[in-house]
Amino acid sequence: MSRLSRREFAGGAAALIGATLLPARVVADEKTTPRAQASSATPAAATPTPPKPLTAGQAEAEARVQMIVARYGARISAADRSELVRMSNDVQGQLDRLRAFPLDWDDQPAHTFRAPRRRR
Amino acid sequence: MPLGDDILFASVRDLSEKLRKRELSPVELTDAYLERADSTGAAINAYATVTRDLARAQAKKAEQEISAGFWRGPLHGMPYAAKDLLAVRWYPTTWGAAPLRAQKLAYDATVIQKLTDAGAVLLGKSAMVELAGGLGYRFPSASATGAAKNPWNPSRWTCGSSSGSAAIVSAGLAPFAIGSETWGSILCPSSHCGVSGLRPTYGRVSRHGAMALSYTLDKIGPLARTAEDCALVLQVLAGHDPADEGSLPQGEAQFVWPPHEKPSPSRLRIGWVTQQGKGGPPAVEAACRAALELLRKQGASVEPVAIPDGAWVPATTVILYAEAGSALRPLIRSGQVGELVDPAAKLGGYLYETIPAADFETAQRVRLVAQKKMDVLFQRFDVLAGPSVGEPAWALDQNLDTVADLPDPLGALGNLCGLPAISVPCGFTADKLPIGIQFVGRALDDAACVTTAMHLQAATDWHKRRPPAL
Repeated sequence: MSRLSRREFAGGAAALIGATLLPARVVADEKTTPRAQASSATPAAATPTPPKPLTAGQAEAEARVQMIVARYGARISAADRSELVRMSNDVQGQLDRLRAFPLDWDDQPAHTFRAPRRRR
Repeated sequence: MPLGDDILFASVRDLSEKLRKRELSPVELTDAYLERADSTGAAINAYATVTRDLARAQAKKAEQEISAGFWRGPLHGMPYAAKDLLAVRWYPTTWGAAPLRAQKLAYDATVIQKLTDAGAVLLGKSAMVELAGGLGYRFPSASATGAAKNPWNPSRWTCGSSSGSAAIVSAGLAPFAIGSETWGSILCPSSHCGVSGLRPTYGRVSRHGAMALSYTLDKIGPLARTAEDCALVLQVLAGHDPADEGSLPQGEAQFVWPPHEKPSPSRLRIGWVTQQGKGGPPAVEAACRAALELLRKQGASVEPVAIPDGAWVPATTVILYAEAGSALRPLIRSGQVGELVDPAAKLGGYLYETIPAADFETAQRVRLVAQKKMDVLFQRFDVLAGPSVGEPAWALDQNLDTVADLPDPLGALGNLCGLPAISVPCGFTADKLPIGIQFVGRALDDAACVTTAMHLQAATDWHKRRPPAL
């Protein structure tokens, strides 16, 4: 495999430096909490900021990880879960790009694989 | 007197002539390569299994037949290696994966059978990336046999996943080897190891008896010293096989070599794909441009062309994920993926199982759009050209996620559309690492890729260079 292709389809290939140990939503909550505690002396910070709502893509990426954990939880360590979050985000990027490609309703699938050739 | 490097690094064509004229003994040649497998081969992790007894028996049979005046063709008595994802009866077929170390199959893959029928001599199973990289990998060490070392510089990797196949040809351990490509697995190792590698049109070569990674993307093809050698091997491998549902009808699958009409360079129309490998080291682009200039001097037209934009990479990715998730499901469900070497491979399968069916279907629709667009493009060109890989060989300990992310539209589209391609050497970096140029052809125009590469090899000697002594 070429390096680009490996990166594109290797799932864990798109590294996001600074690994999280839990799914994205949980991490977002945790990041909020210490910040709120640290600044609790100021009245303005007394009310914790609610976590930002997830985009549809982020939610899908997170749901994907939760599905895997539900199915294979006994095998998935905390470190694995963190890795899966990164990999799932990468897959989501591919899916989003695929779904954005304009197709007409009569663009049929290439299920029966063939190699089209036109007459010259 | 032991056979020297001039023989061990000779082309299939030259060796074949000597074997046919009985100037060279298949047994002597096989023994020389087997000896080299134990020394050089072991030093660079090129082999998963050496099939010594089988090789000697096949070589002896070939010698008897040739002595009796029975000549099977250009591969008669010719030693070779086969990627360890191809079944060889009762020998280990590990797919490069630790959990499958003990796997032995009771039959030969179709390509192995065809090569046996042609009188070729199987030296061994070449090392490969675990599961052909199908569940992802991040490090060159992603193999049950460890990273294969690049003969041009053992601190560099061969690239994958046909790692051992490329290393074996490059290091003079066999005149040709069989590899496979789902996305880059023949072209990248060929380029990084300085050999010629041919990815045939999808469906031309049977995958029966080969590990399935992606049913609509997998192709099997040869790696050899010259483009012509690749054609000689493809002629034997190609043909319809009812045991492979993706196999083309015989009229399309067969590959006739030499072609009835060999295009002269003056009639060649080459499109230089401007996006391919853009942003890589200048030496790579310069070497490819110099190669095209040589073809232009022979009369070929060379014109820059931009590949049409589209979701080709995501479509190929989604198809590969979904198909690998299905093909490798027994390993995923059983948890055996946890025994794989690479951290990405241990988890990738879990993710692949979650690809929505609607997205897989969308990817297949994008694929047909891509095929039609490429077919239109090939009205103007016989072949498209670009760097095989934007960069030379990476370090053995390189985290592959950290290397430059260069555009590879020819790789994505070529594999998505099932198009043939060949990578041949076209120069070296200042560090003496090989650089490869690829020629991609229309569906079933494998011959156009080969003849273009042959015109280049007629004008250069990059493919004749040998790596420094290991």
